[in-house]
Amino acid sequence: MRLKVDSNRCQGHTLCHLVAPDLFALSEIDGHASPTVDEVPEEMIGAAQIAADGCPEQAISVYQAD
Amino acid sequence: MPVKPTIPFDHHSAEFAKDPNAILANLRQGCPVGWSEAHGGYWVVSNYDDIATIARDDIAYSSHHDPDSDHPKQGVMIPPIPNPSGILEMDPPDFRTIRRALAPFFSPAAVESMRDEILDLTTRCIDEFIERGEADLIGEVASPVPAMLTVRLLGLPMSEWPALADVFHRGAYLPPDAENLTEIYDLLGGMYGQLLEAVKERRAHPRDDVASALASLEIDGELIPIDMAAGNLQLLAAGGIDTTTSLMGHTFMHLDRFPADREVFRSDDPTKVRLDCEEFLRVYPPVPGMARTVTTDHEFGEQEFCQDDRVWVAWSSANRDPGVFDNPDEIRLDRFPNRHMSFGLGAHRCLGSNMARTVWEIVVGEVLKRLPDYTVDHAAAQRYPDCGEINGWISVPVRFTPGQRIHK
Repeated sequence: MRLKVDSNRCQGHTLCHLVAPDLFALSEIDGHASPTVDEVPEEMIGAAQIAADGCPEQAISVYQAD
Repeated sequence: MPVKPTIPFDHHSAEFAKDPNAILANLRQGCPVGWSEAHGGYWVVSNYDDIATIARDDIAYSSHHDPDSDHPKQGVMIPPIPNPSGILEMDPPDFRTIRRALAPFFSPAAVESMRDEILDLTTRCIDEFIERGEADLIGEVASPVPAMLTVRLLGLPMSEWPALADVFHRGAYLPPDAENLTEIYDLLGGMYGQLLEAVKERRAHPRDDVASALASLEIDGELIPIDMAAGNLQLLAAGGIDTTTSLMGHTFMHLDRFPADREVFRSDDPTKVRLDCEEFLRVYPPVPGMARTVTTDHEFGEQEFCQDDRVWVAWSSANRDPGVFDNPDEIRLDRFPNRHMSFGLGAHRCLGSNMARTVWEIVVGEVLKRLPDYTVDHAAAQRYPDCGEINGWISVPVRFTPGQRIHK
């Protein structure tokens, strides 16, 4: 599964990093999130989904690569 | 003209201050997009998804503050305040330029580097009353710590913190009737004058602080107007001072009513404490709602919105929308997902959220560590008579077993 943060939507709530610190890095400048991986390791798909569900801006997608 | 569904609602009223959650729950069920005749008239939007739609659309719903234009914009407060409140009352693109310049001062990394300072301020405040066995947690710790931190961040003299705390504390809870408005505007005007001077001084002698960053900022190749820079400093003061105070006030009251929840802060897991903070934010939002001005005629929630109409989006109502939160009236520590709107949503989302969470964690943690058996004197605790802009406590008097100072 792939992981994406829509940078136009992310406003730096930082909740994704709180619940899945290995999957998201926060910008030193404004705290906005970016994924640390392109491909989510099998055992972390659950955590990625939890982070996506908890994003107030609905900026995170976990999706099947084509 | 279509008939507007008029509702008897005023977020500055005594009824709202008394039981905002019941009033908003009724609106969500019966009239999620209603029209209030108070303060010249405004729409009240109370469902989560509707509020999210409005908060994310800066084109149809403007935050701008320019009452003198052909289509008057009145910013995000109802009734409007006298001077525009910095980027909170600006739209993109200028909004973005200024926000980008301010962001590094409030990033998670920047706030992390302030931990020792926040702890030191907290320790010194608690030292002042710890031997006494009684205190007012608002006036003696929850108000001073954010105020001192903000004054230091703005680069004002430390001696200014009580005056600044007073402006925003009283400015927040005095109901905006004619008599009080004069006093509030005088308080704000005096502080604004001081901030104008601070900007001029920094422009001449820049330092490494947020006031200097604002004073020297260029927008489209031109130096920022002095009043715009001062307005943004005023916003940082307004945002930093009474909001976190209010969250801490509610937290202290909650931990008195539900002493078992005090265990939370004895947790060694920082992630859990952070998640708990989000739940306190959801249930006790310091800012119950904010306004926008409609920029084009359009239909919204089966109602006809007209250009220049004012709209108030109730963050505190979104936070208890049962469509989004299971058992929304129950406080469930470490709830997740917890997509609350207490920091707002969209581009204008609270710039100081990382600071607010860290101050809350340190101050509440230290209070529980040093006066673990505190009890609130409910007969003497005073709630804000007006919770329209900020929902908080004037005072939270407590008694506890006296302890020892840390600094002699």
